[in-house]
Amino acid sequence: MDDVAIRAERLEKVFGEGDVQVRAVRGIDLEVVRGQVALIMGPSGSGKTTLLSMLGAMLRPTSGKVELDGVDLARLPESRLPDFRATRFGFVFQDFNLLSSLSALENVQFALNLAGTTGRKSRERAEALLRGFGLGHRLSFRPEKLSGGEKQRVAISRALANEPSVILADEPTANLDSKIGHEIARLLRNAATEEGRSVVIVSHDTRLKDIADRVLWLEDGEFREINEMAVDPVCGMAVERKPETPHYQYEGQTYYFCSPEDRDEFAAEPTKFIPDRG
Amino acid sequence: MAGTVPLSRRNILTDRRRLVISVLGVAVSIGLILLLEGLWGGLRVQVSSYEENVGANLFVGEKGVRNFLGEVSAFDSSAVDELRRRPEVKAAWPVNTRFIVLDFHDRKQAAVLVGSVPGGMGGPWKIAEGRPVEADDEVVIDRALARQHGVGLGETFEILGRRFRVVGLSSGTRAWMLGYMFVSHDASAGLLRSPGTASFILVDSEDPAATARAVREELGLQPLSPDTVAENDRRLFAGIFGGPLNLMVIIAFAAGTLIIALAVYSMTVERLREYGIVKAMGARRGRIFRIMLGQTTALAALGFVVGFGFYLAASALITYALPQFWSHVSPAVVAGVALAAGLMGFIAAFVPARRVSRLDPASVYRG
Ligand SMILES: Nc1ncnc2c1ncn2[C@@H]1O[C@H](COP(=O)(O)OP(=O)(O)O)[C@@H](O)[C@H]1O
Ligand SMILES: [Mg+2]
Repeated sequence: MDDVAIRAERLEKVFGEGDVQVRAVRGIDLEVVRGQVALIMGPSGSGKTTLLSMLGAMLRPTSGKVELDGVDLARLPESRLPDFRATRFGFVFQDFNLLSSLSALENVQFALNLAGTTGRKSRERAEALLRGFGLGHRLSFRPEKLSGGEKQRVAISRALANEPSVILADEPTANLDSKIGHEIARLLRNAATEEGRSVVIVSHDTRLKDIADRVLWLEDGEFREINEMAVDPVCGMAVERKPETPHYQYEGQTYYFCSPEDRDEFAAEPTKFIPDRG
Repeated sequence: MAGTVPLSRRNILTDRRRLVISVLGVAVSIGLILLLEGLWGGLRVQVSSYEENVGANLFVGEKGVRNFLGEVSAFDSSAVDELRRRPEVKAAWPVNTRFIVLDFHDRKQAAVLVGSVPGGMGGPWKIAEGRPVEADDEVVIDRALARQHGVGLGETFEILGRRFRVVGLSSGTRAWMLGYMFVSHDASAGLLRSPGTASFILVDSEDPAATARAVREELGLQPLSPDTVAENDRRLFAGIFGGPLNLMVIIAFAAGTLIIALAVYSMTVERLREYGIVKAMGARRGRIFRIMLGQTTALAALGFVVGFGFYLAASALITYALPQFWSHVSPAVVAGVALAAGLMGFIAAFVPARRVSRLDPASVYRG
């Protein structure tokens, strides 16, 4: 059996026609094996969301294919895609997007219902998941009564409810403080390591590199070599290592920045930004 | 869907204020439909009260006459004697009827005047107070009509220029908005200046079919069964009032549907992103529709219950204040209106469902 959970081949997405045509994703190849966490980074507008939507069977590619557990999604009729999404994928959305009128337990149960698990079975499974994440005392709470970290754990429980092969997360740590961001990263990492799921994360957040097995850099709809990347020591964003990027030499090293302002700030007091190498 | 999370119920219960407002709106529409149906039902029952209660099994009118109400029939009353001579005829009595407009304390009032022979058929079938007419200057009037104009037993008032004294009040003697007033046959002949004629002959026959044949062939008059007359009277009134009444019912139905649709539509638009999530998570079109249907039918059901309460209150008030509008809903009509409420919910569900179906599931990944 193939160990690849999800595979994209020459994946291409073109929006619009003629003058307003946008080639959002340009012939991307990607394979994520079971147990692996792939982090896709890239500037705004580089095609991350478009790529993730195609991987998640929400958006039809213009050409190329997406294979999930050996099934070509592009060949499935439209009517089978919802079931595929319900059973094979776990989605984690920016800001978590729980259903506001449902309790924590019901939010997880609802995902189970969509995949065909109902009644007591769905209740028990949802409860076990939430208890496992330390939310046993929050089962009947609505999202508005939960803290950011709790909401996030409910969202991850929901994504894991149907034991999906692949988890797709779009900016899962955006708008969260670093402690909570770190926790969500750990939970995603565990889903891969302990349960053998493939995790694809799209994010700007360089902290997620710590848990990723692979980091891919997307730009203008194409992957670039990751070794061409550097981290702006001022703002922490990933930037391209090339001549036109603002950069600064200090103690024999070249530092790259996402803006000239960052470079000037760095130049004024480099030691403030350089990690202690002692 | 047994065993699944009741998202519809949770959704409509989240915003209590909107729930209350929309349920009240739907309840007004449904209460109005019940009231209109009730008036309609009252009309249908009351319009034929004379035919159903007077005790004749054959009505004889002038040739071509179909209705008891609203048609002028007059023919030589000597036919009464000929009918009485027939062996199967147990009784035959002439009556005069006329639609009249009275001046009651300076207020106009439409009524149906009936002149019948004292002691014979055709007079009031239920006297609530007082006694039947015995003399030619006496009148029995419908009790609701009397109450409406503050006329009591023993008082006198003018009918077509002659004074009559009220000797009895009858009940159930209405043709919907019209009340009956009963005088003697001779008095009516004088009032209508038609001595020796009858509008109808009421017959009680052991063989109505044979009598009817004789009426048609030997007397050249029109035999009608009470059921036929009743149906024709209902049809006559339905023709006059049915159109506007039906139109009002349709408008109330449309208003109720619109209120439900808008309420659920606005609740849906407010959490459109959540529905995007629901779609992304794999909900099919059918499930989205059921989620909407759950919300719209819940509003419709609550609206029906509250609306039924509104109807009961309104019809009690109307019976008290405007007794001429008697309202009557049969269990079948209540069931029909409940079904209509369900239909409102069903139709309304398409509006928000359509909005969500146009939603791109990929939109959830766009902030
Ligand atoms: N539905 C769409 N119609 C037209 N253009 C789109 C659509 N979605 C995305 N694009 C364009 O495709 C490009 C990539 O967008 P996106 O995938 O959202 O990038 P990212 O998520 O990396 O910011 C952008 O130029 C964007 O304007
Ligand atoms: Mg994006």
